[in-house]
Amino acid sequence: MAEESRDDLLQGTLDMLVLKALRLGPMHGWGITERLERGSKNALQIGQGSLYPALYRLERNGYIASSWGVSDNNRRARFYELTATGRAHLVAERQAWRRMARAVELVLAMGE
Amino acid sequence: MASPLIHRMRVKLAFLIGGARRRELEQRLADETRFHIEMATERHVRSGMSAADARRTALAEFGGRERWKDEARDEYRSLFVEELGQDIRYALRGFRRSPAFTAAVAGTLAAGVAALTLAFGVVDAAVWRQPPFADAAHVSLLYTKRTAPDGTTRTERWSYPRIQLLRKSARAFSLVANFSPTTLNIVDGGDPESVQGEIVSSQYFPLLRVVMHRGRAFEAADDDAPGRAPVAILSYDLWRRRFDGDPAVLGRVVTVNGFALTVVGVAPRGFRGITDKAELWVPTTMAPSLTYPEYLTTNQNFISVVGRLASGADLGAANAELATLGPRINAELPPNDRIPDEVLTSAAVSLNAARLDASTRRALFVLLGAVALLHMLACANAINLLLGRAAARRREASLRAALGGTTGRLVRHYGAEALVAAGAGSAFGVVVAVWLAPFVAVPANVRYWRNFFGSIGAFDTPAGGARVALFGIAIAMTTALVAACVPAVGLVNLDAQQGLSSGARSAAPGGASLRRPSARGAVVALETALAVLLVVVAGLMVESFSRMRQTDIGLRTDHLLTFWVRPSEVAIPPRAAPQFISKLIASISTVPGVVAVSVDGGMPLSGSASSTLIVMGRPVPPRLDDAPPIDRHYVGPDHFKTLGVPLVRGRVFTDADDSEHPRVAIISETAARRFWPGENPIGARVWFGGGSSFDRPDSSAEIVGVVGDVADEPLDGRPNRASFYTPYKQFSYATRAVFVRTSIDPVAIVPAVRKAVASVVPGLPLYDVQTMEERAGGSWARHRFDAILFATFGIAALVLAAVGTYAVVAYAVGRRTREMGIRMALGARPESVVRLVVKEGLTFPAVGLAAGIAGALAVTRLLAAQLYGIGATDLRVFGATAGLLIAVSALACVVPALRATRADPLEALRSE
Repeated sequence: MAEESRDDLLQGTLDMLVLKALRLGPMHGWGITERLERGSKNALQIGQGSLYPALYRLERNGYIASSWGVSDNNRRARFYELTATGRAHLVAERQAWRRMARAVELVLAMGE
Repeated sequence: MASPLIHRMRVKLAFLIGGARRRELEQRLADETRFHIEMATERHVRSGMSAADARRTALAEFGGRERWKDEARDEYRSLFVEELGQDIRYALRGFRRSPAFTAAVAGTLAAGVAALTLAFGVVDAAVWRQPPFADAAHVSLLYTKRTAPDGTTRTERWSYPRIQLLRKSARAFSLVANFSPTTLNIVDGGDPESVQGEIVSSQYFPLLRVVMHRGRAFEAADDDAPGRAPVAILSYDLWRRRFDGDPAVLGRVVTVNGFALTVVGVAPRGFRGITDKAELWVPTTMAPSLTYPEYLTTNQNFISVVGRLASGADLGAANAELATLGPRINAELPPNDRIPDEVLTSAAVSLNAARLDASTRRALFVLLGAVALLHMLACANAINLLLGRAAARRREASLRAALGGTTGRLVRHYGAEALVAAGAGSAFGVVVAVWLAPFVAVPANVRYWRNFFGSIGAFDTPAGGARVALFGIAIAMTTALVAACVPAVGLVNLDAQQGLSSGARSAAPGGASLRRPSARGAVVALETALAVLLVVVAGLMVESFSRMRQTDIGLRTDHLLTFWVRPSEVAIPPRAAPQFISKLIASISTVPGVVAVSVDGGMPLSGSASSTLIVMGRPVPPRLDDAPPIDRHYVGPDHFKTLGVPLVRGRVFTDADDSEHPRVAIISETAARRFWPGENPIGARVWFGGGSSFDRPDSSAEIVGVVGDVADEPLDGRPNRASFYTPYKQFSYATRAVFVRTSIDPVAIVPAVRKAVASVVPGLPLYDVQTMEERAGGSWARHRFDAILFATFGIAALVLAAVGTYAVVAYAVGRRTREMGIRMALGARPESVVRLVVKEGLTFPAVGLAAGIAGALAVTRLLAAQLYGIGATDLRVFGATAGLLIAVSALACVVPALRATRADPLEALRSE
């Protein structure tokens, strides 16, 4: 956890993506994976093994809240929604990400 | 990472702790999993799979269900403890990578914590800890307060008749005991020896709740009548030393001051009485035989009294009673024992409070305060170092924040690192302090407490003890928390954006400015201010000591042996004293290597007998006590030759100035100037207020000479007192300070001098044998101690402040290598770059300097009582301090600046 690893990077990114997915409206875990897959044109396959830990972590940090609800097909499902803190966090994350991406791109474009 | 097994066990353990929440969580995990798999299955069915295949695929996709549940559980719970453990492991790894940094932080804090804990131990021992007697908090010291018609008050002890009345009437005290310190000569069980003793009443031992090691304490019957009880009690040490711890010592007759006393008891080990130096106790009723014939009958108030508060009574009640009891006791005494025109009351103070005077308390708190400042400086330095390290890691922190690390997590992460270093250092400091505490006593010769008439021990020997350890632990914890949290919070407060962008372009203007307000800048200013305070104090102390060293004490200190002889007044009354002294001087004079011998009633620099002066032909005040006070000396004919005091005019004493010849006196220059300004005092006639046979107009003496001033009193910055010398042959007591001027090493002739003294009075010991140089050194000891101690603090403070400034400037210069490179490339001269760095680098030290000077002006007046020949706001010391701080801070800036100018401009540009 304390060591910087690939997991850290993925985790941070996944958190941001989950927040973004919930920005569109409250959704259950399954729906979130669908949104992310659709949004990335199936480029991102979200492993459930990472999704739920991410949801629980985000909830613990107060970025999202959850409650039981009923799904489209009338099943009992846990719905997640973005909190105000989560919304602000997403904005910050997104800015940071843009800077990072630009910086990385600049570096990669060096000498081209 | 811990092994999976351990990880699982930890998770299980955590689950055992949170019962209801755990069940709820498990249910939720199961429900969510089921829903997810059902949805996945449906999707697979929609894409054409059979129901069974779809479900199998969905399950496979989901992966090891149990594994992710563990992870989810981990995320759900607060992982504080676990993460903290990781942080600490991470910190330890970091420290292995930079041991010098870790050692600097931990070492600085260890030294600070240890010094502060030790200083606390010293103050605790001297001020707060009760003297080592059972329930000492309820023991009070009783004294007499005399208020003169003009309103001035004097504190005195008690006369024996008044003690007896007090004991009869006082209700607030369950026991009232009297005691007085004395020197007793004992000849049994070895060489004649002069030991400290106490003359005590029978209540003394029960009051202090002392149970004899052997035999009995004094009994009420021992107090009945003078001379009725020729008994003595030995200290444990004296018993072991002189009687080999022989149990048969009880009942043995020993000779004390030439008087046979029967040993009835041996005091418990370690008990040395309220004076803390007694080795022999005798009953009050034996005092007239052993020391002073009028002990039980005189109206002089010279006997100390202690009382144990009765149960239910407190000091306030005791004082209320004593306030009315004092005048009543006075009224009951026979008229000739009363002091005319004075209001006399009595009062009590706790034994603990009485053992230390106010100025000593203040001096000790000054010491504690200085060490506390030093410790603050050490903390500031550690924080500075940690902030520097944190700043160097801004980018790492920003990245972590951007990647989803929470604020609390980051504070913990960096806090843990600092906490480990600070905590380890502080803990080590406490251990060192507790271990050293019993050894760190204020050296005996620099104790400057003048306790209650010298009759109470200081009881200030430090000992570790739980209180000191607790204080140390509290200080260590506070220190570690402050040193750890300030940098961590400071670091995390940088938002991600700032960290990343300044990381990307570290040469941004102002990005590492030495002038913009910043946490490190504030720390540097604080460090400088603290250093200024400590250096000013050190300067004042050192200058004080140096001025004392340069003070002319009026005599030649080399080749001069000094000691006391103290035969009891019973053995040699004043009328026999001149003859005894003549024999003593004659005997010592025969020792080879002796040039001259004289005697006096006191030692230079340690106090003289005093009296009052009446000049013939001038008005006599109605009360002799109101005449001008002067110092009185009864000396030998060779006195001024022996001490090396110059004769200014007239003549010195000769052998012929004896009781058969006219009374003569010699005065000091100060006396001549004060009482005969612009006149020639030779031929004037004087007599004195009391204490000698020169106490009537018809026993006046003619002034025959004027000699140089000698410092009779300990040097304290006040002008010399006026001294009046008369020949011992015309009046003296037998207890004398003896001075021996030698042509050889004065220490070498001590055995021969001992023999010469014993040939006059067999068994008469020499007491307090020292050369005059040792005595002078002893009188400076306190100032020397202060000077060395505070100079050490000052130097440590300077070094810490310089390191602090250096660290900040070096860091900023490092960040601006590129800017420096460009400046140099564009033709800036190295000097101008150095000047720029120094100018900017001195900003925060300058702020600190101003604050430090202001602070010093405010606090140094607390030191006034400890200074000699120098004001507490001495301009030169303050000026020198300011100069020194500027020079040291500038040096701390110049070093990194020079390094910057040596950087290759191209290299600097490329380094980004």
